[in-house]
Amino acid sequence: MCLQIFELFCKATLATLEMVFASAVIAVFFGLPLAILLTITRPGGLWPIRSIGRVLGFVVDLTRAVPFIILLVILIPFTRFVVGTALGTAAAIVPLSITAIPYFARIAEVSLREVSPELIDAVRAMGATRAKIVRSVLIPEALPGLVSGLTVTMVSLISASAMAGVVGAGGLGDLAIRYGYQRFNTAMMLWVVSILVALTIIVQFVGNTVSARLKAYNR
Amino acid sequence: MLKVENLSKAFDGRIALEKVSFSVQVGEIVGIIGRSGAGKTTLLRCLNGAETPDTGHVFIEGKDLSRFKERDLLALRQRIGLVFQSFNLLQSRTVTGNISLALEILGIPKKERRYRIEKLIQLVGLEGQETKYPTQLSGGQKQRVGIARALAGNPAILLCDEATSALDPEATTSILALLEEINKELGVTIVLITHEMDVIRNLAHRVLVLDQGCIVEDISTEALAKGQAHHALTRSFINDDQVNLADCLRSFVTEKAFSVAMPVLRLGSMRNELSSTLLTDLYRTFGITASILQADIRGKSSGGHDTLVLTLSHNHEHAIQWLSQNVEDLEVIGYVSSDL
Repeated sequence: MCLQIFELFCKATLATLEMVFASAVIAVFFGLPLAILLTITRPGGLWPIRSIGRVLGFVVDLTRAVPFIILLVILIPFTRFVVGTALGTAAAIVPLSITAIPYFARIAEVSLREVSPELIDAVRAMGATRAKIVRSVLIPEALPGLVSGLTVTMVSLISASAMAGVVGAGGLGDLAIRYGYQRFNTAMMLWVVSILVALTIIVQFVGNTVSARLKAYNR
Repeated sequence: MLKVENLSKAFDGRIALEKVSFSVQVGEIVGIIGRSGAGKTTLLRCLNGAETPDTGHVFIEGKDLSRFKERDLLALRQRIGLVFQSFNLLQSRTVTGNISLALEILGIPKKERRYRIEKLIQLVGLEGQETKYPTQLSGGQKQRVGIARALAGNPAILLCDEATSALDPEATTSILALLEEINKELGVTIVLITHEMDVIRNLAHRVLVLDQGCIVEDISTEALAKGQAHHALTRSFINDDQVNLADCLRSFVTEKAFSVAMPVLRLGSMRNELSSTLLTDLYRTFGITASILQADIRGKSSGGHDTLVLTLSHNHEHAIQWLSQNVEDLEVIGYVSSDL
């Protein structure tokens, strides 16, 4: 492999990592509060206002139902508004985050819901405020599950980021399509696939390890 | 301290509590016993303000719980320490962390928290376990953490909801001993909610029997031990943990006396051990031999509570009378034929 191609790979991998990590951070930042709201507004929950939960749930499912490739196109005006351009790596982060937020929110909701309602009731009876319960009970108790959820979200993001080449975002997917598919360079395509596989395995491994560490005490 | 007046609560027309009234004095240990569905849980939830009663009032230290809004209720709830059957500890925090939670809720600064946690850990006897997580603890130890947490806010009342029901007998005994110590040393009023008479007998000063949402009996454990319970349900609770006659024996026992009958007696002691010379004394005084059919001797460690099922060689009225004076509880179960 000549130096130029090697450089190409390095750039593409970095672009993919940039997209995946930036979107993952944004997904947690918006997705976790969303998941908390979805959890506590359930009937019998900490803050049982059903209408809020229903509206949020509807929006989440709506976003999840749109295929990513279509979302990428639909969101172009919004992306242009946020980033200033609809092309490039930074621009791809917007649609990636928009898919990842509801995705992570639903997965996180499952873990949050598993925190024993009896425990929450007990802490409430001790005189804790709702904010205190969310902070000190709900999130720490669900943490192993939340980490697992984040891992799943990041793996999905790796595969979704491959599609971001459509908006000229670069990254490994773009490399595979331009060189591998359009120029019939099968070796290049296989290289890209191996890097993606390696990234996925690493993310999954780190996620599993952290989650297991946290869980060791918990269950 | 704690006063409940005409408390009623119904769920969808099904009555859970009906005109419940009682009061608990400072430093008292009161047991509330009832079968499942008797309204124990609802009563408990009304006591800590988790449930608003339909009618009636709950007074804690003279303050009417039903008059408080959510925000002020939080402060009042902190006057009540809760101990749960399922412990309800945070799995993600250590022993120290779990106790700390209660102090954080009270808004106590970090420095003072550390000092108070140390004291609480000493009080409940968990020294050396501070950095362990709940999964690394036994049931009894978990409940000790639960008790320490409940005591963290210096509550006036400790409300124990089936606190020992999930524990093995040994852990139960040690937890009950701890509660008694806390009551004596700190003067904390304790309300125990349970379905086990044994717990109440060992710890409580007074017992309230709850049936279908009503209090059917309010009796001191002393009177209870003397068999002065009026209500059938109370007596059935007492019988619950007495030795029941084995099935193979029961078929031989008839209720009515007949000419060659030997009485079958059940002797029980609530607080003390049965005298070891009882049977020898019986023979010396009346010339009656007693054969032991069944025995359950638990000794002092479990607070006495021995039970003995005997047959006497003769149906001797004076002997039975003498026995009844020497043991706390005596019941003639029935009679068996002497040629058995």
